[in-house]
Amino acid sequence: MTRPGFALVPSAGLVSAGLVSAGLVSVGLVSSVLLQVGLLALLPLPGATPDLVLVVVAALAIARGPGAGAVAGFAGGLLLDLAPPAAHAAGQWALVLTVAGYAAGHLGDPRLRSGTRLVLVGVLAGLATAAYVTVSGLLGAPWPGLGELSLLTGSAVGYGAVLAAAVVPGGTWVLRRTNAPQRTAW
Amino acid sequence: MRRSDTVRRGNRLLLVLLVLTAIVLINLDVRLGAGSPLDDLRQTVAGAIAPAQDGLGVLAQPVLGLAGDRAAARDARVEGLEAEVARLQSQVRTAAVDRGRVAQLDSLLRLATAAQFATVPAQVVAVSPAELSERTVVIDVGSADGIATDMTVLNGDGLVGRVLSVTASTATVQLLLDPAAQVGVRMAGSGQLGLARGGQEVVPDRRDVLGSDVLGFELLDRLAPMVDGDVVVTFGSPGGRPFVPGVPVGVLRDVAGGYGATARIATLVPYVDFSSLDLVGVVVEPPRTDPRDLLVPVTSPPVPAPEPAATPVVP
Repeated sequence: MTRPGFALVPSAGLVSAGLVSAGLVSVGLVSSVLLQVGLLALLPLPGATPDLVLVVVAALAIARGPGAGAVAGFAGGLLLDLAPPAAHAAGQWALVLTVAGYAAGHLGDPRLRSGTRLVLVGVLAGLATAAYVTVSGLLGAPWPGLGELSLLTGSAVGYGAVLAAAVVPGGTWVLRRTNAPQRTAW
Repeated sequence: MRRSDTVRRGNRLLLVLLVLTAIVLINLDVRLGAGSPLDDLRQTVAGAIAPAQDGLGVLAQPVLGLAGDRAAARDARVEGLEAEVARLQSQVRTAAVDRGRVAQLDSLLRLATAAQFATVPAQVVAVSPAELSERTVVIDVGSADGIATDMTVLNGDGLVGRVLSVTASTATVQLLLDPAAQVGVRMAGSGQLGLARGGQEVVPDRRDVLGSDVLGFELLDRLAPMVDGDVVVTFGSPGGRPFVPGVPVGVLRDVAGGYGATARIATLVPYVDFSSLDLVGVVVEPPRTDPRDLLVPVTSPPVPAPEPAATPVVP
């Protein structure tokens, strides 16, 4: 059998629906990056900064599957790496969020119970934080120490789950409204 | 072959490709350092999102406990702020947040006027996430306001950092606490030279006394006297960039290494409270003369005085 998507000529309607949803996703990623460094990072919260970008990526991945999750993770991560006030070697967030997006798409499923979904996103946020600290540590950034790292990771799990409760249902609904194919590859 | 298998394989391939791309990017950026093509990309992204980031200051302000006429404050030079402070003081006595802003402008004005620095006031609009080791912020002034890289950033309490990069309407500031930050400093009084470094960790049991945001300090002359409570100010760079002279940095604590020891190090507790940074000033014109110790605060130090040290043993 021929590969789907390559053999078929997509109709004009499908293309425009794809463009609309790609545009929506871009807007979502850019605004989540802006909100993360311009608002969430300013809040006097203990531990990590709530990782809105990861939650948006995870919401997309749950709705659209691992391929879309990986692409969105890479794009959102690269934006976090490049947008001010970032001053670290670019690609670190991209690396972490690509894997996180893929994992969210792989493990998450719109049919999951909503509570399970929140836990999943929270755990991914915690793992992503720990992974980021490890990657930047490998590149020579100061190691925060085990106590600090567990505080960062633990708080990231909590913030991730809370943000997911706000973002995932709405995000899924919006993505469904764009009529793009669900749970397929890119 | 089933369709789902093809999709799954495509997804896996995509993951591998993206991960490899990210690794290549990291490597490129680390190896090439300054002047890497990624810097151009960084500048492009910064310029593209600058208007939005600048605009987000509206959201950031209430978060930072601020309100008031930001636009007026931004464009005026510090000399012009005196009227602004007076106006604000008379107008907005009701809200605590406004009073806080007045106090900040007032102290910034006092410090900048005393030293004859020409500064441009700015509002912090974005902060690097806590899990990142870098300590940087974005402020809402840029090259259009006369800001350029390597200008000194301060507030009414003391030294904040230096400008790392600028776009037309925003600038990224490297805080003193950043692991890559280094400042040449001078001890007030004795004039002994030293080096202050960011990226320092406090041992947990000293955190209640010192706070968690501290700098490392190293005295260059190992025979010079150094005691707890000594104040350090910036030494100043040629042309006042990245650091103008005489800006208070902080107070020395936990002085280690006795007289003549191979390393004379101490913890430097900064005057600036980096956890609640909101209004800062960028020095656009350094003073004609070094203000020396003029700016050193005469009031209480930022941390309580340490318990009396044991009498030094004289051999």
